[in-house]
Amino acid sequence: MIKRYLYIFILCTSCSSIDYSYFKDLKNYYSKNKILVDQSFIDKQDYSFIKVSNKKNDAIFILSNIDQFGVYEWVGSNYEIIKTKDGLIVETKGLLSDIKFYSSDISILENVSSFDSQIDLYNPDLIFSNITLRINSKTAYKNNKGNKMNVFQYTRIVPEIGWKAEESYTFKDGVIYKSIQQINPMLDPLEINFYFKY
Amino acid sequence: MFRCPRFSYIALLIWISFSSYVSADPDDYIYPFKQYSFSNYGTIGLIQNPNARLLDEGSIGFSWSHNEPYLRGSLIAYPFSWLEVSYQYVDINNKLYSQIKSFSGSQSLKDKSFDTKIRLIKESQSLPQIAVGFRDIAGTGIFSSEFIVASKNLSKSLDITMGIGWGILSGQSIQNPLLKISDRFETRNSSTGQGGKLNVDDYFSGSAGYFFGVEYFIPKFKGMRIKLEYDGTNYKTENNIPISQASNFNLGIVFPQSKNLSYKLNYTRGNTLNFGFSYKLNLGKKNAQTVSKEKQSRINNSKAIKIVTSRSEQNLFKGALKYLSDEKIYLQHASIDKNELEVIFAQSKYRNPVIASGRVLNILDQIAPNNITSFKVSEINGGIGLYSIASNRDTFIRGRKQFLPPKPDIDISVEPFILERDMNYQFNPEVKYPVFFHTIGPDIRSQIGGPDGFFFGDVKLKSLSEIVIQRGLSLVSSISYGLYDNMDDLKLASDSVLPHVRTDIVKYLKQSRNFSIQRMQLNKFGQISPSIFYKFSAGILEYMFSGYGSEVLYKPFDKNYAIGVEAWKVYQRNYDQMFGILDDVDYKTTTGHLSFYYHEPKTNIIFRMKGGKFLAQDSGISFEFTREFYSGFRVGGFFTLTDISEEEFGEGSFDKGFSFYIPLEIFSKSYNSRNFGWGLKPITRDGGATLSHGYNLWGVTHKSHKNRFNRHIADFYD
Repeated sequence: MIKRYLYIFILCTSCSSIDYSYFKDLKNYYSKNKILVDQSFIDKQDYSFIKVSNKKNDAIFILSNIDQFGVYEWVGSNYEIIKTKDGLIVETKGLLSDIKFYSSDISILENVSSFDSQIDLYNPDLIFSNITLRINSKTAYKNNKGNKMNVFQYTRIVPEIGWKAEESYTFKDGVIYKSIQQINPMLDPLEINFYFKY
Repeated sequence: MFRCPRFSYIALLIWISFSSYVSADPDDYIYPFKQYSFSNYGTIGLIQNPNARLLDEGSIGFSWSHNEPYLRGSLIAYPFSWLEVSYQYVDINNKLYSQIKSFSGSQSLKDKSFDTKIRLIKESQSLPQIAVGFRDIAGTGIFSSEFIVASKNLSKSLDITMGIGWGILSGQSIQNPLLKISDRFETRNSSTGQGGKLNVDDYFSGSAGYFFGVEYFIPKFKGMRIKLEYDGTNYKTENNIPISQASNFNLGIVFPQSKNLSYKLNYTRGNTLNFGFSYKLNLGKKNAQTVSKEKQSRINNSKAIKIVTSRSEQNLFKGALKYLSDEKIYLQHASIDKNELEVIFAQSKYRNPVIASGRVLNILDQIAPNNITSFKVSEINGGIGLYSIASNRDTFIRGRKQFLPPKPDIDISVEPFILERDMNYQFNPEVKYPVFFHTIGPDIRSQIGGPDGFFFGDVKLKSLSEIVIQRGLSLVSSISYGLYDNMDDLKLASDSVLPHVRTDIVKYLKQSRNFSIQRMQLNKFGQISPSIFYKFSAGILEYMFSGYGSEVLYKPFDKNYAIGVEAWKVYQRNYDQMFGILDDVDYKTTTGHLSFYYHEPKTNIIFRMKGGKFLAQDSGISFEFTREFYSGFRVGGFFTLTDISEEEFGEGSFDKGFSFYIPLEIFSKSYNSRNFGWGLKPITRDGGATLSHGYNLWGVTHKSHKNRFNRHIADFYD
């Protein structure tokens, strides 16, 4: 946040005033790059997609593959890759910091109290560290359209580095609908909204 | 069992290389944001005590702390990994600015000072890091102290510090160990005089004292750390007003909000709660504040374009004009000689000439027919030739595919360039003169730390324009209109015995609050040879002076030095900063300098020595040192010694200051050549003042230097 205000200050006091074109830079620096996903946006897409959001940006990833373990692979505009299993990000490539889960048989929906895996984190690197996802609560309700909604609250624990984070997975009629999770303790959580085209 | 020795060595090597991979260090997560934090004195340290730690070179920072009776704001910079420099303002709320109410009212004392710390020994497995430091070296000296300090990481969590201090850091008194060397270290003269001087005779003299402390990084706690120290400050003598101290121990905690922002809360002297924050940035590295820059987009239908451009040379020239223009690069002339396409271009988007020329070549490669086997591209600026790059097309394509930067003088030739007037280029797109460029935006002016109040300033709407009358001849203007100011109470009058070439700043600020002209300067740029550049200028040259003059620069392209000479006849402007000359003062003078520049290629320090006659008719030499980092960020300082006495100069004793220059593209994903330049002098005086005319030749021709290509050649395919 301070960096943004600093940037504004620097622009305002730069020795040779502001060029109109730099307002675009200023706008990008100051405001969130939002993508509005409404029905017309959904209708225009040929493939299933996800909207991935952090504090600063929204980005759209398109479904490119589903493997035998039910892992969905989503591809971004600069060929970044996010792989998800029931909304849980199990692998990323090309992000600011990446993550990789070693177990592919984990499932948020299997209703176990916790499950373990090993993970790698990249930038900074952490290799083959134990991770536990422990369920905190399950909530079931029907939304105003009559869909059956299930919300799973998990705690992510990586004891080696003291990483403990809360995350949530929302399913609509048994299909992942939205998830909020951190992929790196130094980054803001990512919110993913899932849009499936059948 | 027999084992081949050679095999075991190889196995060992493989094991080492793999083991270093698999045992990646989790410390970055266990101790995030583990850079050292700021002390209350605004430099890297413990709570009150200094330590031997520094930030990475190219870093700058700001620190603010409130520790009764002091409110301190500091700017800190790291021109080198071994050097810390800082500048502080301190509000001392138990002391008045002056005893004369009509002069400074009830304003509390504001003190400004420079600190520096130099790393002598870098920490190793067995040795601590050792640094020597100086506090308040060129101010009034009320916080003046020197120290030698050692810091050592005992574990990943624990950093211990101990040191010996002199001056204000002699609270825990011991006999000065330097007395064994010389008696000259026996007494310390506490007289502060006009301030601004280096009191070298006082350094490390008088009483000495010890101090120590620890910084404990709490593992897995988001980078939080605890500081505990045995305070070395002498509160009986600091600021000449004793401050009560109930304990020698200080305790503090630092909360990093992010890599750059930290908050702190301390309990000092056993009776004072103190808090503060700090913010730091590393601006020195490539893409220092962004992940990456925008990539050059490929031209659609390149194959079809090549078919069209192969039909006639004019098609190729027009294609180059169009596609270069899309990239904000403007083709000025073009020719084809045998199978070489030569393009002369001008641009102001790219600060880095390596990226600019690489992108021009990339566009030409995508549109030029296959019979073009080599390219020669040259950049000009205001009619001045900057450089020329020639590349074989196959070599360029091969390098781009493999992302292998070319080797200057092997894969590409990099030469100086002069635009010959009688050179017949085949394609000369018509430019309809005059060409008008215009920008508008906010501007902030400030006057800090005077007796009338700490901060006075205004916000103005500023218009910058340039009318290019013909190539190399232009009129640049800077006009502003005040929107808001708080300068009514600003009334400090000049007490200078020299001509008031700068100290009437308050009159200029107050009387130019509405509409004013900062510059209206007619420039004629030219080039006698590839190494000799000249400029004639006339008009309103800066906010206080109008006049006319000339500058000539000899700057051999492949050398690291340059020599410049300039002379100006100037007239002092009216305080309202309009067209008039100051009638009642009628100050006019001739000023001029001979300058020697040297760009040291390894450290990228630019040294400038400028000798001659200054604005107030004093004569002397100015020394400037500037470190330029890879990103274009520059930090530097200067001092000027002239033939006037300290008394004639007044407070500060001689002219000095420092400056930052931050390319704005550091914060942006797109390229631009704009910059934020900021200079600070501790005090505005008349001695050693130089004319601040726009567009000096060293700056205009900064791309005309082979070392720039050698240094940045890795950016060729960016």
